[in-house]
Amino acid sequence: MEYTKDEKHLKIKLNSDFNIVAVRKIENLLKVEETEEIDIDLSESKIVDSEAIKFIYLKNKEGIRTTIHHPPEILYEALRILELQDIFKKFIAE
Amino acid sequence: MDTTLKLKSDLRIIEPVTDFSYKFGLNAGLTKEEATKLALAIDELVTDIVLFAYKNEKGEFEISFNLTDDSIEIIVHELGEPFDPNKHKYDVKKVIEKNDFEGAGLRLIENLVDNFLFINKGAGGKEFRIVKNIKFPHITELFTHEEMQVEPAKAVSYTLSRVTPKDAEDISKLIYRVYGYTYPKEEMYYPEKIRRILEKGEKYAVIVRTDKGEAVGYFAIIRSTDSKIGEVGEAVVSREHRGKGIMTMMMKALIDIAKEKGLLGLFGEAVTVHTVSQRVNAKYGFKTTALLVGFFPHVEYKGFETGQQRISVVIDFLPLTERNDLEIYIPKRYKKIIKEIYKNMGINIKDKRVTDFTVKEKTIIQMNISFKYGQAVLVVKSFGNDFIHRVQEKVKTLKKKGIKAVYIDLPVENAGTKIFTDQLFDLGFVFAGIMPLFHHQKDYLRMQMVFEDINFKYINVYSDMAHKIKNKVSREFKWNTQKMKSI
Repeated sequence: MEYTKDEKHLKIKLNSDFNIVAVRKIENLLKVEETEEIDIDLSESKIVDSEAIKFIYLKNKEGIRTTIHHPPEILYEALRILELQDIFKKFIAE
Repeated sequence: MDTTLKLKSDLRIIEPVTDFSYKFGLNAGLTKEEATKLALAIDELVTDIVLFAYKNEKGEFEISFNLTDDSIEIIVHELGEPFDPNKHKYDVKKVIEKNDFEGAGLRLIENLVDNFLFINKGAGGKEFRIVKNIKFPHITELFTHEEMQVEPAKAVSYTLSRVTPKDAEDISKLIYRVYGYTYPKEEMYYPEKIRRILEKGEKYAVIVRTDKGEAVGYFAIIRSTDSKIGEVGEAVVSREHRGKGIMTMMMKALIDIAKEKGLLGLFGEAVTVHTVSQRVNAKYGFKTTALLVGFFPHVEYKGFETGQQRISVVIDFLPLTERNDLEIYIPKRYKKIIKEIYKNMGINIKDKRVTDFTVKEKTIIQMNISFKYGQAVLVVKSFGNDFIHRVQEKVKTLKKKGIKAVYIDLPVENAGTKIFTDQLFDLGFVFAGIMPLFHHQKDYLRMQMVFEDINFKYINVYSDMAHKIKNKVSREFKWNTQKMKSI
């Protein structure tokens, strides 16, 4: 995982799947970096699982604007199954 | 290609296992999209095991990746904390109102794979089974109906040869030409599936061609995976070429091949919609040993009444090795019929008395499920104290998952068979027959339970022995139908 910080804006590029391990790494980062906005580049992730979906949803609920970029196609399938596709439209960058 | 991984319960193993699942899926023939779905399902399951079954404590679990002819089956076995998936149902309302994602992983797994089964094995832990079907092109996607309907011209002579993977397409076309869409073994309409099976060497088959090289006959032996026997089946002869001795030529060749390969016996699962296959089997010395009721889903057979019910088969067996005397445990309930079945096979049996039977600490039952045919076979390896309870739990789980027929194989050389048969009957199982040399070269008593209505009027049998077995089975069915329905 690579990241850059610009004031309270955290930019992350994952070089793995977006799973529980990646979620925990980001959460650890958030403990030490005051953050109001997160952008996560998923162009190298094959999978985004339910732990990652939960993380994105909860961070946005907490008020930390979390946006994902270049997600794999499987994410849309997972969101459809979990009936969250409408809610997630605003969390995925065009 | 089948593989078992023994893994430590550790978050770090999630991605390697997910990657392995993806690659396994691709190698098995899944598209990238379908392999990714399989990988995500495994990611969810392994994550749940590490987080909840072992709660970040030390522990180990196993994942087996098995490739069948047309599907990938992944079995996960773990000994973590008890768990009931029915108590963890996902609900999007709970997400919105309470930020509660409980059950999201299970919801994903159920929707990303073709079958997902959870089995609570009591002290033996928990087992999860994931099945992902592999999609191949159907023969009608490769050739037009008209192309396949052209009947090969009359021949001056015929040539029989052993089938090679190159014959797969011709076999599929032949099946389509003769049976249309009514052949019950669906895989025969997929040349790629046939080719794979032939490459694996699990099937010995012969093909008959005219002097112009056109395929007009095909017949195969499918090797059993856990015993040195084989099933004769998939017999087909082109209409215009019947009555020329092609079937006889093929059967003789197959029996020779079976002997050459060291098989101890051959069996046929002959449908009971008509008695044609049973007559052919009888002609070559096969003896009926069992009647399996509702063995595969309903299929229409041109010109025959099927009663819109699941199709039943008789087991016809041909020993290829001499078996004269046998000492086995015969349950009192089935003493007469079992003795007759063995006598009909030319085997004298002696009923062993139970003298010092002690139940094992653990019940071990191997479960073979065919979701495609809606049936499961439970093979008993050892009888433990909890045997009946374990069987009951398995049957309930299978029924809930849409399985329509459950068969249980009991080793006749184990005293437990004599002891537990009555309790299985009380549970709702009924007699099916003897399965000779069916597992590890040993004989098994098979009992059965079917969850759909069966009218025995549509079950046609040929031999005297088959009639006797049918009478026994139908009587017991009448007696136990309500129990089967209420389990």
